[in-house]
Amino acid sequence: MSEDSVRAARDALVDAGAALSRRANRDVVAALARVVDGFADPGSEWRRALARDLPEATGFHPETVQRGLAVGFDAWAGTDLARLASRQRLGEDRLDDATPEWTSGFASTSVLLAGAIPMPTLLALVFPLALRSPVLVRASAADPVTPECVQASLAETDPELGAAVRIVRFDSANDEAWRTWFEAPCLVATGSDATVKALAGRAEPWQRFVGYGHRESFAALGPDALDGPALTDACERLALDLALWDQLGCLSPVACFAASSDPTAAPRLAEALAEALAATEAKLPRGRVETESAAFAVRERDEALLRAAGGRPISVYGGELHDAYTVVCEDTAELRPCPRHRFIRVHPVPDAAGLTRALAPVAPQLAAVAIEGFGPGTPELAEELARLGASRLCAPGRLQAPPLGWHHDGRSPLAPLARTCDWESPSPSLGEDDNY
Amino acid sequence: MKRAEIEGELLAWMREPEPAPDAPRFERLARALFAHQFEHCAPYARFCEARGATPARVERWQDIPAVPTGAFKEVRLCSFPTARARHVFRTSGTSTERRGELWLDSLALYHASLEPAFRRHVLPDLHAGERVRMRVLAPSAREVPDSSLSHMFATLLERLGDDASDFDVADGALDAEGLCERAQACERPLVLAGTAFAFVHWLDHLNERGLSLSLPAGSRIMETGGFKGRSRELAREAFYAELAGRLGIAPERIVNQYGMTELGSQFYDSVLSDPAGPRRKLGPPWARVRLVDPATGGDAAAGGIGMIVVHDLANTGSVAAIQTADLGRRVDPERDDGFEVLGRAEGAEARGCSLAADVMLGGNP
Repeated sequence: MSEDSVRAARDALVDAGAALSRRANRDVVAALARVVDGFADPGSEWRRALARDLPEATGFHPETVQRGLAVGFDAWAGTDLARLASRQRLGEDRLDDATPEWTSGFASTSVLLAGAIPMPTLLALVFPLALRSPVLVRASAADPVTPECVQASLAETDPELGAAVRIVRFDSANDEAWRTWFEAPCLVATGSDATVKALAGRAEPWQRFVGYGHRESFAALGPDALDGPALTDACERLALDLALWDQLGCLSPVACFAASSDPTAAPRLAEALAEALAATEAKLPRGRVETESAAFAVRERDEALLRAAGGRPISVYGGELHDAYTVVCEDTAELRPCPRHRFIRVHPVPDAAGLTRALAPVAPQLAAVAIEGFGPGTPELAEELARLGASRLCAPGRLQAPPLGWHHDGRSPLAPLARTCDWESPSPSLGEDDNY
Repeated sequence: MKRAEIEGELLAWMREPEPAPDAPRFERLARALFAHQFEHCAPYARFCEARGATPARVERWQDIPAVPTGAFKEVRLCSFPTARARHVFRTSGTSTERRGELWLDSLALYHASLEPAFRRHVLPDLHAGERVRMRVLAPSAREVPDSSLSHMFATLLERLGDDASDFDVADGALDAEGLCERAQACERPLVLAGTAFAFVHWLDHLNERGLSLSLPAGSRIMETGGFKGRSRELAREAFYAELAGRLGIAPERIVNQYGMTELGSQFYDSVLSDPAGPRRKLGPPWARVRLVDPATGGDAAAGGIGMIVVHDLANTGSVAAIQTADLGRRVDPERDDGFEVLGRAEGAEARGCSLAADVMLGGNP
């Protein structure tokens, strides 16, 4: 797309933004809630379009897409959005004594999308609109389907909302197009840390910059979930967390901890997880793996095998050419690189305190932690993990189903995109003599 | 075959006036060396067994299991009693990072492999017995005794450099001004060799002063390694353009060396050894490269991208088959002759929601 097309898209948003600003927030949020409900409905045209078109466009297996959409969208309802908006006091449009704060979106918002998972894309478009801010979207090459699908559903539900979204695609080196993207007073960027850092560096001080960089998620099983049927059950759910979106999301676990003083706990967990992943592969086959990622996985597998050959008690499950998963049972809590695409390491830690110590080095990148089997110590562990920086704690099997209002990176979903004006009305007790 | 016999044959090959590819000889020596390393390096033997490969089962050199370079950080891969070790080369890294270690009981093959390949690809016009002026933009072997790169440069200076050849990095810093003076004063073709990031530091120095040098005709550059974290980063083409602009050395006279601590042999760009052909990496005949499709374990399809796996027979003391962390591609898909390095096979970021390749800086949308 040329820079002229990007400029034309921006220009078109001026009128669309003006039309949107004349609307009552309540109406806008209600329309957006219908869009969310549409995607949450497995029979809706839009949901079926995603299920049909995403596999070929993204390389995910059709069954995995279908299940990923179900797990992700089924947890959402339009009422969740309305509740969020209400919490942000978006229903209150007038600036008077009764509403001493006035919250609105920016005149426009530029959004940089990345990745191929549809749920974050939907929210990236819906949230600025909920604040009546028109959106210029630079779509991700990884997902040529979802942005257009969301826009079409917006247009059908409420043509003014559809007109308030413009999707652009341009080369990374097209500086003129970037200049146009950077004109918006609010900039939202999702991507690698390098991308977010580069974009943040170009934003002006007067602009609102909201960046979402690299994050990682983990899972941890405590003593009550490390044996027998409880272990089997937890591993089946963990396998789902790993298999959905082929472990490529920031909510996909990259490592799993066995928190127990029993030295056989981690190998037991690794073996059970490998069995669960093998069984999951039959239902949710792994999708396309690029050469780069496959090479990374081979290297990490072989390094693990060599460490084992060097005499350390490390085991590798799967990882052969016919396997679509690899589980490495490590002998320490030291975190190592994760090639993703259903490659996970199991680490032993002696207890919950050992878990927080093991996660401390990745605290700045921590997203979600799935925990189970910690018994009465669970609230204390949850508090420790929250203090460490986790923005989500849930049970195994729920990692890929964040609520619509999840505090992504620990932030309120709408507040970073909003401006608030405090109205300090003149005090009736002040007489003329009190003027100063 | 015993190791001494293998090394004897290899040394004879390396000392031939024009060492040429010899597939049967490579096959025989590679399998003999595998048998020796399987017998004498226990971790490697256990690794091979886990991969289902033993000397009895391996029928082609291509089937010899390759160890990833990262394993040298974790396991001592030594095919001789460690008490006999005379040299330990370590990979670069900070004091807190784990560094890879290559243990050697002899440098005879390392030295024998180094010189003919360097001569062929960097100094193809050098007459027998002639010496060149060489300045090295890297620390000396005295300063960094465990660096294989510094050792390599020291060996080259000793064997091929004239009396005014030396290192230009001291106490960890490039003597940029001194190097300018020495380069400007040089009246004969100059060979500048060093790390890519040291060249960038020198370019920055020249840029700051607005200096451009015009080095004598016939001068050339050999650069190696990456930039990451050591200097500003440049695409190779831009790097060569800057070198050409500031030093007057055309890109066709700039040779990239592809080597690593874990290897006894090195690969070089072909621009000087085969100026008519496309730029590609070529190595000595006793070091062969496979481009492996990680999905199948077999050779990558013609023209396709694969993991660079080096079978370097000069690695008699450790393990000959090395799986690098890099991806590569044959430059001429029809010929097993030369490859290009495309970069490291990494992808640690969560690409589902933050696609590493979709970056603003240089990636395609």
